[in-house]
Amino acid sequence: MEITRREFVKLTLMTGVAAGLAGCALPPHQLLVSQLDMPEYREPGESVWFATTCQGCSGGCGVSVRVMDGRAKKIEGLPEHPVNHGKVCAKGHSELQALYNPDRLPAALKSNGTSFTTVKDNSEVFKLLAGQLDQAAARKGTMLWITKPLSGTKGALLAYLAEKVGAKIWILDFPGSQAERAAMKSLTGKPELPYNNLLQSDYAVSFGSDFLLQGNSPVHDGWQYGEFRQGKNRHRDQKRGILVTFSPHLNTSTANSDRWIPVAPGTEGWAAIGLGNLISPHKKGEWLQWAKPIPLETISRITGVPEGIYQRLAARLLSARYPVALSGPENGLYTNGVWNTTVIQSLNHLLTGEYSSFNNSDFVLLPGQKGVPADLFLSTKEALQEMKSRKFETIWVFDANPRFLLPAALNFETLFNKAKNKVVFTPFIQETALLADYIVAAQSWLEEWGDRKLDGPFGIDGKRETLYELQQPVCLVPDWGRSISIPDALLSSIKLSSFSKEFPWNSFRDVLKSRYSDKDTWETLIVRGGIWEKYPLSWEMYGGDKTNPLYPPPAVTEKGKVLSGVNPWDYLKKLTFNKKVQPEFSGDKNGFVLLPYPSLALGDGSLANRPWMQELPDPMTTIVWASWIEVPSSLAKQLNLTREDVIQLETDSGMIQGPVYPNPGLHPSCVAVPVGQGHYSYGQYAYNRGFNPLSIVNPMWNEADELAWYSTRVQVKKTNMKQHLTLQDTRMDRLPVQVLTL
Amino acid sequence: MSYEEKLIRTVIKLIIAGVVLTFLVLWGVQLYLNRIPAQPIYFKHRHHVTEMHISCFYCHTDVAKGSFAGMPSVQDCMQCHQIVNSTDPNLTGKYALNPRELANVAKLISYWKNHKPIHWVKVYKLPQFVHYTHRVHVEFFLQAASKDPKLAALEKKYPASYPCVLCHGNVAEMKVLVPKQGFFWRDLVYGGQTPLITMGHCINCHTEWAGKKFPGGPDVPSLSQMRNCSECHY
Repeated sequence: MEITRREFVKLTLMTGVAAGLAGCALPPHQLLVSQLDMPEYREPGESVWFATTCQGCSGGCGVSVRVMDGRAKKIEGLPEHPVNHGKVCAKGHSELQALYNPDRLPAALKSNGTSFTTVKDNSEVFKLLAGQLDQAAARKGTMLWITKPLSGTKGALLAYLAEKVGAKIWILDFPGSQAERAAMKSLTGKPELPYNNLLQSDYAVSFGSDFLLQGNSPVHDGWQYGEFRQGKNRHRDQKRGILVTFSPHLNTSTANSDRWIPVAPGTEGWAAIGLGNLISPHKKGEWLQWAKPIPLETISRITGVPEGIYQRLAARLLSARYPVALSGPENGLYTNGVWNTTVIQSLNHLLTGEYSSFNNSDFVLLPGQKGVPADLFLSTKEALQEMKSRKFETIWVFDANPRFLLPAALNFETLFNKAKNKVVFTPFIQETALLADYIVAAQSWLEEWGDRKLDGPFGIDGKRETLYELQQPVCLVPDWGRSISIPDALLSSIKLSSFSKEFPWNSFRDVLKSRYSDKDTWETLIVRGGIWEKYPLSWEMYGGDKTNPLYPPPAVTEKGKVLSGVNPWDYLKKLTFNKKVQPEFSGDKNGFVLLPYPSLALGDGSLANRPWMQELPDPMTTIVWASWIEVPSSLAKQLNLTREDVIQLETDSGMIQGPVYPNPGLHPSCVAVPVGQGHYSYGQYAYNRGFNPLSIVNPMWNEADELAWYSTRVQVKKTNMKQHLTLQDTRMDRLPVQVLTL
Repeated sequence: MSYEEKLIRTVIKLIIAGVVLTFLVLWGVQLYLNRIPAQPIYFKHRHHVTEMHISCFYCHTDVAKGSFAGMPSVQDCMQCHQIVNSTDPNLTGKYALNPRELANVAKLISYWKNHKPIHWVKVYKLPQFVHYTHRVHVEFFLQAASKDPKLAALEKKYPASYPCVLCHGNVAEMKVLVPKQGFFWRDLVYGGQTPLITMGHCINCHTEWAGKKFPGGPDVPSLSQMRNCSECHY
């Protein structure tokens, strides 16, 4: 067939025009949403900075938030804050994405059995809550509150209300600090958290604590670590600090050590005994009498660490001027978790001559509140037992997600559904909220009032100091929403209940103002974000002079009396640290110990709906937007596994499948999986991504009756599948294992 | 040409025509689907700027101090319209509003009463790789107006909308703001549109003013600085 030149040109032109037109698509339109009311402090084009306290974790960092036109733009650290010294972690920075998340609930929701409808007016919710409070007060002991760890005046308010209505409180947290608190209580009488005194030290031995990322105060510990490595310890001897870590898993803090010593999981306390037995004859301090006769050979056998390593390390600790031992939440995650932590802190006491601890969750009592009854709180085991016996008619959940966190074997869904009334206070529809009758749209900490009291060696030169921090709303609550802070929701409901006279405040701000009623105190809290002693180092670093107009800070008083707080953790009565010395594991003896560790980016899963955190590369594997299973090199060789091969982990409680990441930084008896993914309801960024390793954990308990997350053995099976991982690392496979051991 | 060859040629032409027609139909459909919706309130710049002599700066308050011009809050609109509405007895003569205009004012008031912000349709959309700051440009033209005769004349001609008119055109005379799409029929329908602000527009102005110095300021940076890519793309 012949086509003429003319026809060819015609055809080409027609096709070209058609293709060109198809490419000329209009871009989709965008919307500009005006404010309803501009804030009074607003100056056009100018930012305003507010000092407040980050509530992303229990660390209590002071932050300043840049706000423009009533919208929060950036979170930075407060330079002179004694906890974080001007620094903020990735979690803190990403709090903006929780505030302006498109999946945030704009209003309360009501369930009709199959779906949720929007509640048009919050007064309907307040009436409902008031009714449930009155019912609970009439039949005490039939109400349960499940919450994340509480602190400050908010904690005191909830405790006060719970006492009035006879409610029980179950504090659910992953990984949880109860084991550490129980350990410190047995040693010091106070259920506080161990303090990592790196700034005091030139030689530190850590027992697996991921203090740089997941500890009880990661930003503070990170700052300390920087000073420690630069030789800027408090003794000013300019000697670079040395860090050695015993751990079954090479986490970020361990990877920053000068030596990593792989130790069998759950035997960190035994490693501490090995060192303590070698050091105690040469040191004046107290050491555990019952541990002294244990031969080093036994300890070496139990931990899997050669005797020579203990001897060399003990010699180095003895020659160091200021050695310390560090423990962390990870040590408490075994069935012998309290014992583990107790022994490690005993070693620290031997090395330093003191127990160093701090507390970040005192309750600041309300006027007239005498204390917090110890039997107000339930451990996880007790709470589940009481839910099983149908004791609770009403369950309220405050921003916790037990359905995601708890192992499937505990059957939380069935237990929760036994209650007649279920209300969840949360900013997002998470897994637990799906079971609720009502979901109250809670606010971000950037929009609500609060406070926190910290006690610890945060003062100048490590002096023990009390800090009072204020959390204040920095931005306008979106006009299109009817979210409300949890304390304000409770106060509004109490007004409609039968005991409104005992709570004479209209809002939580009023409660706080009544606690910090001194004018200077309140102004200092608002302007500075908290009350603490001046910290000259950071003040000068940022160009300030030594004359700080807010120094000395006013005493925190209420009508002439100095305010104090109360430690609510006194309920931790279990002191059986000298039992369960060996860790117990469920599952096949030939299986591998599952270590579901909290990931840097996603924590316990509550950060999975923030794209910034999803795209934050894991520091060890550089993987983003996924779950993975880390296996030791020996297992990878045995099963002929390479990266991205899919394997199956099976326990009595369930099974998960995922891509493999062979990790030479794992003890041969373990597999490790980061926690955080596996949501099936938490917004578009978290939905249907990865898997949740907590679901297959077999329920085992530590001495504090909390879940021993690291006590499950899994069967590992290879499949024929592959799953792509997005990551930046190319070298980890090829690192020789010898580099990582003494 | 044989019958078969003619048949094949015809079929090919029909197929191509069909493909072209399909493209055209799909193009038309996406044009319709992606059409700029109407603004939620039919706000007339002409009435507010030309007739009421309200300056651009009164509502777009951030323009002299920030990157973005800023949108007025509903509260800003209600400063006047809490009085200027259907209940105002002074809306007579040349100040009278027709029923459609009164309905728009009523719509605004309902936003305020229902505590709802207004979702305006964005007219100017810069790509994400372009950074523009109003402040620098507005400050310059405000200062230069007294020193450059051309600018002074422009300021005299458009007292309420100088210097915005330099880039955004005579918004005061536009019935409703619709971004220029390059289709002449929209010009006919909407009675004048905002000029299409492209990189060429920016470069022309930067080239024209580069290196100019006025006694007592403002001094404009040199040509190499004004045409430096990283001034706007960073």
